Amino acid sequence: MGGKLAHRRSLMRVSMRHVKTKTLAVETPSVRTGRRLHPWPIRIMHWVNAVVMLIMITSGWGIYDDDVIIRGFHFGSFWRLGDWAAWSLNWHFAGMWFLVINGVVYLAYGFVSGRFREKLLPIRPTEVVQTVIDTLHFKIAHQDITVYNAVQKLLYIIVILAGISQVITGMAIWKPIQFSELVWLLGGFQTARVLHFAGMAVIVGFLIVHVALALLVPKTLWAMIAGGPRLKPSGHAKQSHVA
Amino acid sequence: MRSPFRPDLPPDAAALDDHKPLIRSLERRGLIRGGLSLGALVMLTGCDVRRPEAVESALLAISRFNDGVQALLFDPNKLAPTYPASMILRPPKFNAYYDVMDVRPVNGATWRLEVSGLVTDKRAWTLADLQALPQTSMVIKHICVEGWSYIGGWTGVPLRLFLERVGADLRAKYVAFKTADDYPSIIDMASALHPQTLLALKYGGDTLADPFGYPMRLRTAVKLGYKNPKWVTAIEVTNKYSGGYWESLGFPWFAGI
Amino acid sequence: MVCGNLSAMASPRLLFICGMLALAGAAHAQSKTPGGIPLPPGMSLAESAAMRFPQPVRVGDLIGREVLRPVESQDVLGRVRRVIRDANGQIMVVVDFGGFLGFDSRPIAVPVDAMVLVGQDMEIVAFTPKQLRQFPTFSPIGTTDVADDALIKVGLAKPSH
Repeated sequence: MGGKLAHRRSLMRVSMRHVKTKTLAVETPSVRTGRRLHPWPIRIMHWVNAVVMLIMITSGWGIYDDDVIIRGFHFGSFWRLGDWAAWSLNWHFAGMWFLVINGVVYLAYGFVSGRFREKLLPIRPTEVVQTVIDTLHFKIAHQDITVYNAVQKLLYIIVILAGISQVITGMAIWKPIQFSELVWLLGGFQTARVLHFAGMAVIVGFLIVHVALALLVPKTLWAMIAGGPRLKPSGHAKQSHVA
Repeated sequence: MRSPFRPDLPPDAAALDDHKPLIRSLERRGLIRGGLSLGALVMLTGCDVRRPEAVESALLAISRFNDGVQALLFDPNKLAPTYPASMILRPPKFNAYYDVMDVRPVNGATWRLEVSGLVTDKRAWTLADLQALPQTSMVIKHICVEGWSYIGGWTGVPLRLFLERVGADLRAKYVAFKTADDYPSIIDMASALHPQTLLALKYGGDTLADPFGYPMRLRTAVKLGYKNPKWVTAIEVTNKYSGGYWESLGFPWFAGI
Repeated sequence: MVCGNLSAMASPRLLFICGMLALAGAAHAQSKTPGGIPLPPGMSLAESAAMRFPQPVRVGDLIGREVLRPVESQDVLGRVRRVIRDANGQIMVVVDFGGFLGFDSRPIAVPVDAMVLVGQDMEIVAFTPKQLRQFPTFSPIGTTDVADDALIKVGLAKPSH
């Protein structure tokens, strides 16, 4: 009994003064109600974004190959979506609508529902440093997946900003005369291309880390499919989940 | 997982020469050959890409939708940025759907610009006729769909002025071009009437030389490079969409920048 | 206990390395074709250049231009250092060839007829990188510089991709 108790205490991040020892062993009826970590709109938007983002990236690689930005580096036909430039462009200009519509709905949902504030803020620099150190020591145990660590928060904010940046630089490249003021702000047409490429690199870097970690902690992947643990109003997992 | 439409080795150059006309006609039916890197897409979505025609139709439908969006975004009063003459690239960058060795120059003395369609004056124009019209110059950025760009300087007759001279119906939808190198092109009337759309006769102050389209090419500052045909031989004002070289291979039609 | 996670410790390292290798592999993906259009048998460099609508270009505008391989990946072969006439009066372009980001390059003299103008760059179309590596290091003895303001004729090519 003492061993089990210590086990549960060590797993919880909530401060001890909020824990009533007696209730730990009792499964309360409220466990079956309450919102999940990932409500269904989030899950749908996540997977739509995953597919659309891959379409944008791989069709973008096809467009890139038509006139490379980094001389000596091209992606090659295996990595491209679109047999040649015309079709990479068609995929890219089709996917962009789904990316933007899904993205705008996601941002609206995130702000209006309070999800961004709850999950992504605050970010304390000391926490970021500590989490980076932990990660480099491969201490990536993630018992309570309902609370994002500081590096997670930072990376999610970065990838959201990178996505917004891709839309802005993309618009500058797509209509450099109609949006000539935007092009000027970005430093010129060729600079806008470089920025668009750089944003892609940030997103691809995020993707590699994100997918790797999700596969390493598979319950996070399952949570994004089935919804994950139910939450208390505070946004933390209900205690009885951490059994 | 290579695309089935891409050969493993490049074709022998000599064989290519023999079959160029056949290859060109195959390329024009390129809608069937175009499509997807199957490996990538199957891995991503598991969706059935064994019917590429259906996917291509969807993509082309969205491309046509985008043409409409672009038409809405087009501001006929917005001028493209211009640059100092010192920035003109000399010589300009060459591009075509074939390489430079296959350029077929036009005889300027016997060249005629045919005019047809919704116009009142269907007489053909000689080079001297065109040169006698008022000219304007502009130093603008050429932007290619491939991604590269350069600054060039062109002088020529504003297309709007020319259309007015031949009594064109300016409410028509399109202005279509035919060329000596089998490169049809067609643009919307709004872009044709834009002040920075010229029938260009000069580059960098000198007579437009080959392989850049002598004696006359279209040069508009508000469209991608491939919408600027060289060696123009005929202009038609029309309400019927007659297609373009790259459009028939899947590229967007409006192609505004 | 968190011992379930011990076995996971080896994998993140492996996954990161695999990810980096995949990226590096893609990054090293230069075009496999040799690049350049080999001359038809019996054709001289001068004849091939003449077919490319040679254009007058100011020598001073060529100095510093990147010299690219005519392939999709547009590898940088070097930079134009200067333009000279050799002992036979042939115009040659001295290219700082090879090396990495400018380090460890050596000058070689490439006949201008083997090169083309592509926009703001140049390409060597008649020799493969392998052949260029066999070129002797340029020596200025017996050569004369062509002045910056001189105009020379250089052939053209469409962009490579």
